[in-house]
Amino acid sequence: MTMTIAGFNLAETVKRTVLAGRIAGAGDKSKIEKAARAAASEGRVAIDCSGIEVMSSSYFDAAVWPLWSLADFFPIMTKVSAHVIDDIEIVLKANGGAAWCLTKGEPRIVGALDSTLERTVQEVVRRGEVSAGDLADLDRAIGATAWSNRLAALYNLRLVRRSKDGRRLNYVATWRA
Amino acid sequence: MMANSPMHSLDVLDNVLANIGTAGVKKPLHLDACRASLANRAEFAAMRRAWWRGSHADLLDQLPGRVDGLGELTGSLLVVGPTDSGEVHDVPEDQGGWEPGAPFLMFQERFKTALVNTGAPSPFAHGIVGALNEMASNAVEHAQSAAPPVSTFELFHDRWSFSVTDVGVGVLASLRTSPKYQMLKNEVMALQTAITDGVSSTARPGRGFGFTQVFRSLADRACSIRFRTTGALAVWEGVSPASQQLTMSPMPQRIGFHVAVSGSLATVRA
Repeated sequence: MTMTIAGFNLAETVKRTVLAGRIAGAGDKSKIEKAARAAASEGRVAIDCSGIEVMSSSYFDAAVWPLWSLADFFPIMTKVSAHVIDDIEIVLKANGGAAWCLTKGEPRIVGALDSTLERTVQEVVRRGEVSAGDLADLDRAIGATAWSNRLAALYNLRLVRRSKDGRRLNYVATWRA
Repeated sequence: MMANSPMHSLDVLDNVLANIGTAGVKKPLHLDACRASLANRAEFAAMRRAWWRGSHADLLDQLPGRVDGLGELTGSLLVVGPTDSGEVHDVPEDQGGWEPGAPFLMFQERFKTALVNTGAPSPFAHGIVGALNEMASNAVEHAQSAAPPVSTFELFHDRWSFSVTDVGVGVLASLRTSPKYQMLKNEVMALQTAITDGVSSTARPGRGFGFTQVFRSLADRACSIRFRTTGALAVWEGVSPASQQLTMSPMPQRIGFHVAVSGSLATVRA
């Protein structure tokens, strides 16, 4: 189940609805990071894209995408219109990145995710919380180390969060309570 | 006086560049309050064309008298102001100039409002302004010029248009700053490469999608596009442009990069 994730409205933060151009994006980057940090709860933050008419790839790359590089930060896009998703996806695919988008409460991944990671993240979502050891039971042909690497890759993409339980690392989808 | 006529993109190019001084350095004209009629602007555009062709020495003497009502001469720069249907505006080179409420953003807002007031759907107007913004940002980032780029928009009779013109190094020199594009041999090849998705002189992933925004904003729309750089021209006229469909041709050398996009308001309203 998703929970209400603390967040901020992007259009209100940058005070405009047509977000285009790398220079404008670079100028807005610090404002967006500040708003994201202020709104974040346990590193999670929802970027509410309602009201945005245009968000070009260049703008997203310069202003918003850097949030995914912040340490222990887990951004989720919400209320993103279809045409804006297309522009975001250009950047994500070019960077080998992926992001969660919540539309009407339904999570979906946009961007580049290979079939191996796709399968892994689906399993994380299905099971709620998993460790590499749990997934090793799923397919004995894939060792725990390989599952561990896949989960770590998802973590680096900010698609899952993790917590430590003794020597075990447990992973949950970023949007999950 | 010339009859009212729409300003062709070349007019726009000529209109926003002045040949300053004996060194022949092209610099953009600057903007200030002026209530020029479109007829006057067309006349001015004709003057600019002559200037561009090299007869500027004669025109320089005539200019102060001829531009009465069009703007003000500040030094050797002619200050051209907005009309109800179009504007010329400097593109700010620092991030502060792109802040909400800054003159350049207000200029874009007026373009958007003008489009919507003629019956263009709001999403289309937003897309076009986004495309203008991308091209303006590109010009600032890649021109490597001390003079700021200039942007225009115009709605005249049944046409809308915008342009961005810089007086920088042009596409070939810009791309060649990256080792990845050192192999580009000529201006046509460089222009063809530059408008392809993901191509940028930075050669970084996620860069080089500014032109994508232009093409996407014009999807399913009748339009014409003109990219002119130092020694090459790319043009397109039709519906739903794509980078690989532009007609490329070599051209006489000219400094900088110029993009002009225009379309029919009638098809936008449909």
